[in-house]
Amino acid sequence: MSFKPPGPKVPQREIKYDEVRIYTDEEIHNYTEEELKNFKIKYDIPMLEELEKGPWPSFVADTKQLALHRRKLADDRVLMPKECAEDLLGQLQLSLEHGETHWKHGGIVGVSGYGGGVIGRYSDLPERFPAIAHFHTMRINQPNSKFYKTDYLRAIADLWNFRGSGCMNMHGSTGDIIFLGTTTEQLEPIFQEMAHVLNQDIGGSGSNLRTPSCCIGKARCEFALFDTQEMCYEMTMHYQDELHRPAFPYKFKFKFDGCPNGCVASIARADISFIGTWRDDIRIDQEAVKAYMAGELLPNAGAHRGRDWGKFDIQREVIDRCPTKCMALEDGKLVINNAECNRCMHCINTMPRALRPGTDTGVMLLFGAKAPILDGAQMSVCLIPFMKTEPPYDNVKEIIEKTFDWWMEEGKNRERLGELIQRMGLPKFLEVLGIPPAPHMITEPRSNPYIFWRAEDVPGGLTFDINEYRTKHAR
Amino acid sequence: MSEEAKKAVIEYLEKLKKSKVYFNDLEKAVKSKIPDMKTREVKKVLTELINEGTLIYYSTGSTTMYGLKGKGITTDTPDLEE
Repeated sequence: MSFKPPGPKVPQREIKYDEVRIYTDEEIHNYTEEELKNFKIKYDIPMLEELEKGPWPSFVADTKQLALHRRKLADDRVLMPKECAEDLLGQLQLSLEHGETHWKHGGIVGVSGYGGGVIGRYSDLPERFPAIAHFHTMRINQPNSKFYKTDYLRAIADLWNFRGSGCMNMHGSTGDIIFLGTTTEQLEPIFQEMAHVLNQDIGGSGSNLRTPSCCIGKARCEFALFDTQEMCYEMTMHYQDELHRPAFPYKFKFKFDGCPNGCVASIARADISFIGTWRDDIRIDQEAVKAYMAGELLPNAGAHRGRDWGKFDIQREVIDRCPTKCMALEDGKLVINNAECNRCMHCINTMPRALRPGTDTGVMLLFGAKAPILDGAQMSVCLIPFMKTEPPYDNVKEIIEKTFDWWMEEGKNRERLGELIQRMGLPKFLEVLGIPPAPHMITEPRSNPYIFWRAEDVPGGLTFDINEYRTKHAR
Repeated sequence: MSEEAKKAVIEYLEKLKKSKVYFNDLEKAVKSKIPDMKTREVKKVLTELINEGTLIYYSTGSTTMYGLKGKGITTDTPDLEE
């Protein structure tokens, strides 16, 4: 497989809301609290209104606000049927009564040249709920780490209220901004506006590389061990064809976690998880360790203060909780056997002033996670415990492309990478990647070191005669 | 080679009873005629056919399939039988 090198980085265009806005302030704030209190949608929705009575903010209340807002807009100020929010609630009430969904999903809807980012959704009762006969979802590639300016948020909210339902999900599980509900004829204009005015691409869906996502990284986090945003951007740009033109057996996800705390949960969801790590020793400030022990510094940077947990006990709260038992207090000093550390981050999180990751940092690559709703998550397996990462990440891309090639060649339809690894065996995947097996690839290397050896891997060869074996062992 | 591959794709889809197929079904159809063709080249051919308007994508949201435009499925009536 060959991939085009990325073009020069395009400078980010600053969006000024006043230059792109669609609605006036009066149109945006077009109802009073009193009007909202007295507002009734055109359907009876007793079961949904029950949901409003709980302690948490309710999507029913939000959708009612949207319904009132849209009802009060002039007819020519929306291009999606004005009653869509009301029909949405009406259909949901009916679904709750019937105990089954009234949505159909899938279809040919899309935007020119793209095979992802739009998911067709249709009501199966279009005559009863005509405003949501078409209610397609669009996935928008979120900015890295979800940094926004209010100008940008206002601009996309205006666009979506004008050409879509106004319902938005910030954000979907994969990280995209989700636009919920528009008609087929609005898809292309929305895409053009997003691309050419708001400088914003749509995301991945279907048998594509899904929108890569990363944690907040070095922008705000002291633990970030590589530049997650840089790497996520580079991979998004480099694999544009994989993102927009589907040719994979199924979905494929990249996620970038700056440290093993894993704030984007790459280990539980991504086909390839990139997690920041270090290969030297954890840095220890013994004075700060003493300050924690003396109660001068709050554990977990004070995150758990407010309740009486008793005096900080380094033995019970840190040393005994180390999963590999690689820490001890010796003569009042904290010592760590770094070779045994498995990067659980517990000690570093508990005493961030005293302990910091090492300085020789890079990224570990884990493969094969998936998070299906019914079966629960399958965690990814760490096959490459450390790689140095520098733009343009050619060493990482080489691994990615070997993985793509193998999966595209061998993967069955709707088979994730993790399932393929299980079906063909981990040794086969290691052969594809060209890396030797190692104990860390096995869940319990000390109690279950079972491995299938191939004849050519065994020094001196392996001779086995099945007929001779059968003379001693009946089938 | 590209024209030959396009022909193989169209012929395969025209003969088929199903209205939509997976990428690797089309890949097999092309490779049965042009064994040396690489997966990425097949993808390029399919992208060209999409851009020309001969093929269309069909997506359930989680999986994408390919179909011949005008055969069995249209924009306004999602076919969810398969």
